Amino acid sequence: MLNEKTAIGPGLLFMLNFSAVYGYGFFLSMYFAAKYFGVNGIWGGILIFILMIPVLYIVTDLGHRFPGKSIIRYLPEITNAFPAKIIGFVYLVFLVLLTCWSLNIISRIFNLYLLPRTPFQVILGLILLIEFYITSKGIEGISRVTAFIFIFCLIFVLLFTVSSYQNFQLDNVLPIFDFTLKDLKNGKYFEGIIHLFNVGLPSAMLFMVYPYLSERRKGLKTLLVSSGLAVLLIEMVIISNIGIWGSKGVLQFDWPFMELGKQTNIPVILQTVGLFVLPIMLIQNLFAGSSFYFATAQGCSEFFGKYNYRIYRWFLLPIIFFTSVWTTNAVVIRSLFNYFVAFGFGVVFILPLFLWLIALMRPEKTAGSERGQSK
Amino acid sequence: MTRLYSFRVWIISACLLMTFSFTGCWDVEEINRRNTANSLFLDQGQNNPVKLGISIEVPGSLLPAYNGTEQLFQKRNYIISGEGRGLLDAWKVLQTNTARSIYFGQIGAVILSDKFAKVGLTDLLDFLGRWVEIPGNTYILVTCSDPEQLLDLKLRNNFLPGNYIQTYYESPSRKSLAIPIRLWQIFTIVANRTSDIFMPLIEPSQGQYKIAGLALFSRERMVGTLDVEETEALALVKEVQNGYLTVPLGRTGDNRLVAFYNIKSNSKIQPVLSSSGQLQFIVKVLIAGSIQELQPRDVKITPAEIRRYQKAASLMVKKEITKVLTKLQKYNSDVVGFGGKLRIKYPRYWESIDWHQEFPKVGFKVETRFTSENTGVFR
Repeated sequence: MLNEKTAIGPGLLFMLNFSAVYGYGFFLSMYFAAKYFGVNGIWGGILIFILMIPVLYIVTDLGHRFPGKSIIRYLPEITNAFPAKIIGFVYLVFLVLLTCWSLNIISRIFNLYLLPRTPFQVILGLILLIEFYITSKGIEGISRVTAFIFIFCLIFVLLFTVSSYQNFQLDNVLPIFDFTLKDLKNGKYFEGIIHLFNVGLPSAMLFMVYPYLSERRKGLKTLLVSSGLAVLLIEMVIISNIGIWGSKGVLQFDWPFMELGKQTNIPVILQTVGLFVLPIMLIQNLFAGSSFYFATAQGCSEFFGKYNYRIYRWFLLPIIFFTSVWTTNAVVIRSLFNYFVAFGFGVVFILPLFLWLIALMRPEKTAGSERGQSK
Repeated sequence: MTRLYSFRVWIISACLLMTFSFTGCWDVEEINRRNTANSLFLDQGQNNPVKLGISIEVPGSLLPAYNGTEQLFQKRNYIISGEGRGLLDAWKVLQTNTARSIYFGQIGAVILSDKFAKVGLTDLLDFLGRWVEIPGNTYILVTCSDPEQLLDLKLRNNFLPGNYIQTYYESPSRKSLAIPIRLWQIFTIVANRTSDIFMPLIEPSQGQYKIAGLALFSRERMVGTLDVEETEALALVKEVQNGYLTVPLGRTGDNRLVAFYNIKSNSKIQPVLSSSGQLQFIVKVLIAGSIQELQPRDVKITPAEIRRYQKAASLMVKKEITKVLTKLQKYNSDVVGFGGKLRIKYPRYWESIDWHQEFPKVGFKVETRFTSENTGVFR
């Protein structure tokens, strides 16, 4: 059923998922953890991972039930044709927005910290063109490049993560449990859960990519371990951020990670660890964006038919560019993001859960026979 | 084969294209077309509320003198300044005094005049915090003298002022009297509001600079100062390492003393809220140091003598710490971070109070214990 003849093994899926979760989820997670959970933001990473487990399970289980099919292809088999079209379209819209938001993150960081005089649109356009090129290599090419830089990434990220603890103040992360009934009642924690699930939004891409996995038996384990590693690294920086700035101190900054990078150093040896780590983080984000771009193009190809994903890349290029530069106002973007994460939570968490439950309730015969095919 | 050839062409083309970016690794504006500020000062202006100035290196003066030649530059930095209604307004005026664009990324220190610090730091923090180039690790200090003259001083070692202050603080053998604070720490304190800001006092001394104590802030305004001895006592509570301590062993006028070096402290602060609502902090400070000087000289110290020295040091430190804590309460300046300890132990109580109204009323119980780790080369 796949348009592309290529396939990826569990190792490549591991690298791809790690890049997507870490590269996309890293930049804002510490802010949301501190904003909605205060000192208890240190539990943010654990919460993120718990939320991701059911989504990853559903990705693999639906993948097993409908082998060789992406979500766009198996939607009509779960629901009727018309709802499938609507859900599929909503899913594609979300993938476009995810690609745009990922692109927006990297472009804004470049614009604010590295190239302040270069127009935002130019930076965004250049990065989009790079993603456009990477996407042309297909899912195997993208995942092979992520695998190539994985070790470099891990070494530098670990170096940064460990050195970011040098100014850690234990008092800033105490008391360990400080949940209040008041915040629970006024919905602050629920809002926090939705915002923290931002880290799990790259799972949307997996619904398109999972059919390419050659050894589906190891699918769940691979996704859990790669997501777990990415979330663990994010969690370590959430703790160091809150430990250094305090939960209220983190909220001062637009990009807390960048401020942490500015002041993190290894005394005597390396004064600017952040400078070395920043390219790694941005490259991870670039690959995350490329994988979302690919998933969108592939999704369009399967949804609309007629052309393959390479052609749809061209159609998507202006859509992604103009959607991303639609507003260059940072304050407006922040408020729009609240709607985006709520939409994302619906599409990546609630919708798959709903589809999975329907798939479970399908007549045993059909489901059983298709499961049999997957084996 | 054709594919490999094509790949090589791509790689070579990419490498050649990258060479264009090498010419300007900073920017299209090269380093030699910039003024690199090494320190910044803030004061009250004569005609405007704010005066902002920077110390800039003389271009070329950073090159070392070659063997057999003399350093051509007698003074390696100069000052430019501007006044305005706000910090950006003053910055705008300042920029008109130089042809080059000013680069902030190498700033080592920000000096505030005491007059400016007494007005408040809110605007300063907003201005410095929003500026991407300013490093978070920049040291912040206060001076009671004119900050412009202070930074315009030709230092005897010919260091740039910002580099001098950085070197002073980053020395591994820094003294307890130099409790440093960086820009990012000030942001943290102001955001969390569980303690108050402090800043070292810097003054000119012997053609260079010295740290003359500590400026105390209550909320965001400077309210008073600590002298060097008081700063040392505070350093013990704040666990600042590598200090010195001289303890008199007799009455006033008696020359007998024992002096310790490599002072290290470990403090534990525990808030206790009684049922009647009375708040008390138990401050336990464990101090360790090595004997470096003994008057009169004694090369065979007995265990009983050691205990006597330790007791004398412990009592002296307790007295000094109590004095400092009383002074902090007088100024309503919680630079130790008692508020943070209270927040951790009684989070609901913390949310219900205004800490600056409570702090002057709390009680302190200071407990100190001094341990002499070794007696130096002599026994």
